[in-house]
Amino acid sequence: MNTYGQPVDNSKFGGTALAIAYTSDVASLQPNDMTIISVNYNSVWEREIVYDIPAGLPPCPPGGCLCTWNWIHQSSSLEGYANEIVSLMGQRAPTCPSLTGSTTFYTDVR
Amino acid sequence: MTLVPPADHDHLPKKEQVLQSRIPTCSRKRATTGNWWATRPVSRVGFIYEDSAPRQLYAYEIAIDSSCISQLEQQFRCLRFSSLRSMASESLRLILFDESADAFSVALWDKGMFGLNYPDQVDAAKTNWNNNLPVNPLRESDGFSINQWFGHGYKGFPPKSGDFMVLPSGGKYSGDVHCNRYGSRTRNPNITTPLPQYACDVSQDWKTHPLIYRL
Repeated sequence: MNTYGQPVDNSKFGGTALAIAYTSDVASLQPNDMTIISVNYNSVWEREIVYDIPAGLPPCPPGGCLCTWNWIHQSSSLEGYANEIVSLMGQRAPTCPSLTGSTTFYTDVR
Repeated sequence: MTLVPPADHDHLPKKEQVLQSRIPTCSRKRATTGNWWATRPVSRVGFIYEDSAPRQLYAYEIAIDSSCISQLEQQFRCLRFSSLRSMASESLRLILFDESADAFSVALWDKGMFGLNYPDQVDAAKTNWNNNLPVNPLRESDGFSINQWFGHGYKGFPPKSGDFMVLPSGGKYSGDVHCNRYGSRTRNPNITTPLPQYACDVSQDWKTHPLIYRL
């Protein structure tokens, strides 16, 4: 865990990822529908975060794609909270353990 | 010093409203989502003004009763808690901070996100500029179903029609990661202060604004 006022230790970052599903139907969206398209290893740290979006992504359907932002928590030795989240997601999405399903977005690829 | 709630809910409690000292043992900590922290020592106290609908707080809060307020008044002689006492029931929460609990959580904020205005729909009359609910961690021990944890359980809270998170194929997406909506470009556009550099603030204000960045 990076702590306040100390130099940044990049090895403490778990990283974040964007994943996409080419559907507009959020009701039927499942974790395993998501495909990771971009990662940022040096996060979470600063507010502004930039992801490289691969070239050649097909256009989304008219209603948009669905996207999740996923954060791989690193253990927090004092809190224990982050570990629990990782194990939760690992168990519930065994074929896609990198998904923490933090947030969902309607996405448009342009 | 008298406690004055901020007139504008979009702005945060003033520095003077946050105390830093040992908290008396009268505090009966209570969390909305469990008791995992119940025996932790507490070394800070803060409070936050809230309007009507109680929010789910990922934070320490105490049930404010009159005996506890009396103890607080004795401990913090420089403060008068009379105004707090009158406000306690409906609008003011006292929040305690554990020095050892450094965990906070964040979300990526974008106009295309589900749950942007949670707990209300995005087109509700009331805008939750102070939204930290998509940020709160979800715990394995709560036994959530997929629909409860996937997308933070906000599938039923879509963005405004036509509001997309735009991913430029072959280009870069720039977004905001922060522990509260107010620290992102989805914040109240009337606020013109610079956006924070970090996902959760680590400036010197941390020392005096613990509650702001740990909720």
